[in-house]
Amino acid sequence: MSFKTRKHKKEIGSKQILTPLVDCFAIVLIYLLMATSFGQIEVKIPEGMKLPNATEGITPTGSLVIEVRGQNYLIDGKSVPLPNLSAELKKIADLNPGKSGLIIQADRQMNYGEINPVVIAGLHAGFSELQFAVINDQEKL
Amino acid sequence: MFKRKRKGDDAEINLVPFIDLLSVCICFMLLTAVWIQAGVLETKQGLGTESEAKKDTAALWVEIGLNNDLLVSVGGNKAKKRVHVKNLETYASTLKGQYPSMKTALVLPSTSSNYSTMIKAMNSLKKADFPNVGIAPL
Repeated sequence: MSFKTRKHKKEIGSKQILTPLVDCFAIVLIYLLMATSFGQIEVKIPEGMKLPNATEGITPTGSLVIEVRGQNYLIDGKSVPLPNLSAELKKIADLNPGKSGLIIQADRQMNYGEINPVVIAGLHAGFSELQFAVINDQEKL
Repeated sequence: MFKRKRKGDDAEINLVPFIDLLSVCICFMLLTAVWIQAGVLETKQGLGTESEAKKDTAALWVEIGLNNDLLVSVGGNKAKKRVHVKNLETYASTLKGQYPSMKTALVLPSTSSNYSTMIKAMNSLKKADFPNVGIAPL
């Protein structure tokens, strides 16, 4: 008889622990849902690349991403030789007439001389909005 | 009849599968969450005669020198002031006070200019209320 009472007490104890646990889980879930960005254009930061910091960064609107890695230029992940860069961008611009944004990703340690061919090729291809990818940082500037 | 009603009253929600589901959801969201906020610094510009900076005579010109020092002038004036990138925001704000209609700033980097310095200069100009920040291609 006494054994039965102990079991009953244990059950009540476990129920009391579960309620705040569920509360905590629900709060964490709501927080994560709120922090998740839905429907925005995502800019993937390439591996081994340190983007420059900026406080005035905005949400990207450009659909085409060009990655600058030294003398290598990658359009949406595909390597394009420098002489063909302008023609390739023009081809993409012609296929997407309403889109004028070009996102440029480059390491913060690079010199502008390596990024300049992309700027010129982009402008020649008709991309009037050049968007330099940055990390939105409020403190470390 | 009465017995059935009592059973319904005593029914309890089984919390264990509910917690399982929540924990799976949290694990998924933690794995897919983006902790670093990536954004962009935008420049709207054209080539040659299309350039907005050319139409606006009172544009702020920011030249990036060889040692990443900045040479600031109004409309490409010969009187250039050497400014450190950290002080550009303050200096640009002062000039904005003198020329309230000035909305365009042009960054003129050189081949050896550091990309980070260029972005910092652009960021400072945007902060100093210059909505149109352009880059002069080499």
